[in-house]
Amino acid sequence: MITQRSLFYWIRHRQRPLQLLILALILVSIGLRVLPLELQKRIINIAIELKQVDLLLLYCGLFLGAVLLASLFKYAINVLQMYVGQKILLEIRESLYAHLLQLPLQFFRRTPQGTVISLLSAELNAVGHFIGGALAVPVTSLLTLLSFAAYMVYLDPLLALISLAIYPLEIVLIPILQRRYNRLNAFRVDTVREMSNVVGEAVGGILEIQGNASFTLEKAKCGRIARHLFGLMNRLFIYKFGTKTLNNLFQNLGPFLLFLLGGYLVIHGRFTLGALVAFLSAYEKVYEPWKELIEYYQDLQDARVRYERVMGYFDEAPEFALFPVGRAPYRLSGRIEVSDLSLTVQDQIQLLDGVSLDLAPGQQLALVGFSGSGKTTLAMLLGQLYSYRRGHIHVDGHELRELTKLDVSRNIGFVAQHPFIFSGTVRDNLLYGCRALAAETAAGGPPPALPDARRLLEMVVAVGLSDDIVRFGLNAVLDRERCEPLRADLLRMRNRLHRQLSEELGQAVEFYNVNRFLEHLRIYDNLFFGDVHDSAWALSNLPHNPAFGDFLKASDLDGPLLDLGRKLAVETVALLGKIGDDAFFFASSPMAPEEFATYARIVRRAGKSGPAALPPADRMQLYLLALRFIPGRHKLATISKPLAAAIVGARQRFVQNVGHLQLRRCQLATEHFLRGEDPGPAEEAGRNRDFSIYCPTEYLYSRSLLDNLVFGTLKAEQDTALGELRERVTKALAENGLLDTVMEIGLDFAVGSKGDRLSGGQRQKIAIARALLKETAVVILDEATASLDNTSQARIQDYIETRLRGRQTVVAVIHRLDTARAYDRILVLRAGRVVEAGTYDNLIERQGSFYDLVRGATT
Amino acid sequence: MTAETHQNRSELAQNMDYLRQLSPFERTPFEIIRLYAYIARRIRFGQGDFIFRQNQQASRAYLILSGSVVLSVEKSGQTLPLQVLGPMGFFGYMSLLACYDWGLNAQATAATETLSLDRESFRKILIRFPDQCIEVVDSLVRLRMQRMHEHMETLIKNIKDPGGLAKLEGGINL
Repeated sequence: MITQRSLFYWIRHRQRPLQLLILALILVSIGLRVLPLELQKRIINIAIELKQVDLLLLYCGLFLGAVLLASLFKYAINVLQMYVGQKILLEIRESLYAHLLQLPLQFFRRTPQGTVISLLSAELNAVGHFIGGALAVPVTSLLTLLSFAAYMVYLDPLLALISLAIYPLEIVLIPILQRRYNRLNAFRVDTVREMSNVVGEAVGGILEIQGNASFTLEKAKCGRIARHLFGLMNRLFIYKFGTKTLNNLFQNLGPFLLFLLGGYLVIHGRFTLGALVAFLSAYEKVYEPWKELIEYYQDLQDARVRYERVMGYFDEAPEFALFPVGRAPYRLSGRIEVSDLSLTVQDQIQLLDGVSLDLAPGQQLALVGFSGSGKTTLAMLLGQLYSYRRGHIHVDGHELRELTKLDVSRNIGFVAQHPFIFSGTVRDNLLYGCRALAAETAAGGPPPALPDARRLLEMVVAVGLSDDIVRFGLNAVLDRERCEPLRADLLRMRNRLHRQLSEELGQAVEFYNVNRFLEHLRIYDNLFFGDVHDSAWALSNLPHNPAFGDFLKASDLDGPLLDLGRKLAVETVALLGKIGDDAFFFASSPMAPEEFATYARIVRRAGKSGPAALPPADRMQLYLLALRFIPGRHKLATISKPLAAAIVGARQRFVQNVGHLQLRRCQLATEHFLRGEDPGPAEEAGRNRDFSIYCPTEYLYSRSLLDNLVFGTLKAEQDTALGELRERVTKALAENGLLDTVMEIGLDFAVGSKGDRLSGGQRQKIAIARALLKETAVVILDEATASLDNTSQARIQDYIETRLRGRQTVVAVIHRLDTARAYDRILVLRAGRVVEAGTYDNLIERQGSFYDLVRGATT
Repeated sequence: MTAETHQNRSELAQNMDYLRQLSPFERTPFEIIRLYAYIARRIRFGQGDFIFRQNQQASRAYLILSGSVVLSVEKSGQTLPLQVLGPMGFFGYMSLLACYDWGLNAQATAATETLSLDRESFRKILIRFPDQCIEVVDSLVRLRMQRMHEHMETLIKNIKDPGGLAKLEGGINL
């Protein structure tokens, strides 16, 4: 198991070719580092002594060359070293992550999320840093050390002996200090973690702390740990710096001895000056590899501690095997036999006690009981999410705990009470189970095919998600590519809808009319009235577009818009000043929460000197605010009739002079369209890509599908009319065979992190659909419909009853007892035991626990 | 307020004027009323449209700006009208305080424009400014009790068999 491998296992067994290359480079570079020493000696003794300039030049040139080459090699070694380290780290991370995912659920219950994350990221990072140099550094340092020492001996054995004699002392003293350091370091890691947990707990339980005024208690709790940490850190640093100081001391002792003895020898002619200089250089150079070795030793201890901490944390065996060996995954029929199943946790708490049941394939069982009765535990056991030791669960005669995860995934589908929705699209989430199965089965034979579009939509309808998916589809903004095959149909639909529903539409929708000011569009859209592809005219770039400034002036809009921007800024700052950056409240304002501070500052400045006196950058911010203003949605200001007229005038000028578009043609088409007549032929694609106009003959790529179909924006205040309108549009789409297409588009809706753009009910329905799409022999539902409204619950219940009966075995933990009527059998649990079993009618007749439960629910 | 001045005032300012006239908001500080006015939405209903129905989840309070609304209760197939509200009529306000199912129907008897507050926004403001908003909560509850008495009077007047009151299952949930 990965967690049992030592740190050096990875170094010994991975990236061997590259490590050998690094070693080879090291050997060569060492030679290149000794060479300059010899050259130094020759420069002094030969070139300078004998006053030979050409030799001087030669030796200096070689010196430079050697030094440069040595640094090039060092660079290559460093890069390769790091590469090797990161590569190995990558593998450790991936293997550890794969191991982590299989750990038993109990592990995740007792381990804080933060701990897992920090162990996998920060702690392992430090290990990775070490691994790269794990072999290279000690080898380099050792060899360098030996070569320099050898050179020193070659120059003068006695001097070398004396100066090197200092080192053995270090070899003994330093490791002693180091061992103490390591022990303290391990304590430190634990203490830091303990402190984080205490602080985390205090923050989480702040209500209790403040309610009980237990400030002194809590301070003491954290204080104890903080003080302990303080003590540890102090001692750690004493040892750490002690080691360094000793090293330093020894380092300076050497030169002292050298100057004394070597100088004496030179004075007495027994040693050349050049040799002394070379010797001194060599001696100084010995220090570095020595220091590197010591640092390496410390890093090794540190990395080992971290590595073992990380691995120790995850050192648990997965409860179940992952893949079947030597056979394909089973295809089971769904016969379930449970005999005498018991589950005790922490040696005391009995969750289940002697539970037995029998289910034939295709039968449907309801599990009911009081809270804490063990219903969910039983469901989790049947889904192989918990392991058991006492009793048996047989599926088609196979003991469940011996089946592999792949066998289970293929044959058992599980829907949790609080399902998790991954970020991605609705489609991704629906197909999650099927895709997982396909990915895992790739090795063991042909993977099961993914459900096709028709099946997906069928399931969406069955779980009651179709309205939501249609809504997502209608709200989608399509790009050119996606839209192209549908464009002609959509434009035809638009005309048809307008002819059939113009009165209802008129109440709920504000049509795109090139001749009018529109209350439900931004000022920006009112001005440019179309899709803007020239980035210079995109909203965020307008401040940098001088043509825009000219355009505003020419249309006499610069003053009024600046004023509008100022008013909006002032009102918003006053209104939301104390709200903070809660995005919820900013939704009804053209200001984004992160811009608040900027506008607050501008308002303060403008208050003193008036908006016209503001610097251009600030004025541009006010223009942007005004351009984002939607009169019909943002309540903070109004647009007067003259201003509205000026904007429409400016629009028409823009369309003709800047956009170079056919204003008259669009005006005519709009008039025809609004009267219910044919607006004319659709625009050819590809003409003037920079700008387009909201014309009835064009598809508007910057607006949603629904906006395109109704050719306008929905008036927010028409709540009931909106709902009816959507229904009418949906019906019309169905009649024209476009509904499936819209639903397909809706499936691409991005659900947000953890599905936070979905309601609780939508998340649950997706989870149910996800499990049902796998078409497993067994389906387990743990109060899966608990948070759905009555209609949806009934619908899904109906699906289970009619479509799954006889084909898939169903075990459902149910909450609403009237739905129990539809099940073949009901099992009543209390305190982990089965107290009653039978059909609905039997149990009611018996007037026992089930009868009490049913009665309790209705009174 | 004339049509002209009406037009030049922002919707926010108009909303504030309307809310100020309601008893629960009489003594609410300016900055809180302004926030309520900001989160309030204008919603229009056609004649005969239901604003909400019995047993639907309650989440919004409504103030009638123009038009009229009838509040009624349905039981065993019978619909009993309890009250007709006109402009400045305020109803559904208990949904600002708690989540429950409507016990009444509210139906527009003419084209009606309302100003509506939702629970989620109301709660967010309450959490931010608890001291200022708790008085609003008190006033809403008092208003509710008063209206409940009015409805009870109406029902009692309409019961043909006063002795049968004791047999009614579970009481009437208004």
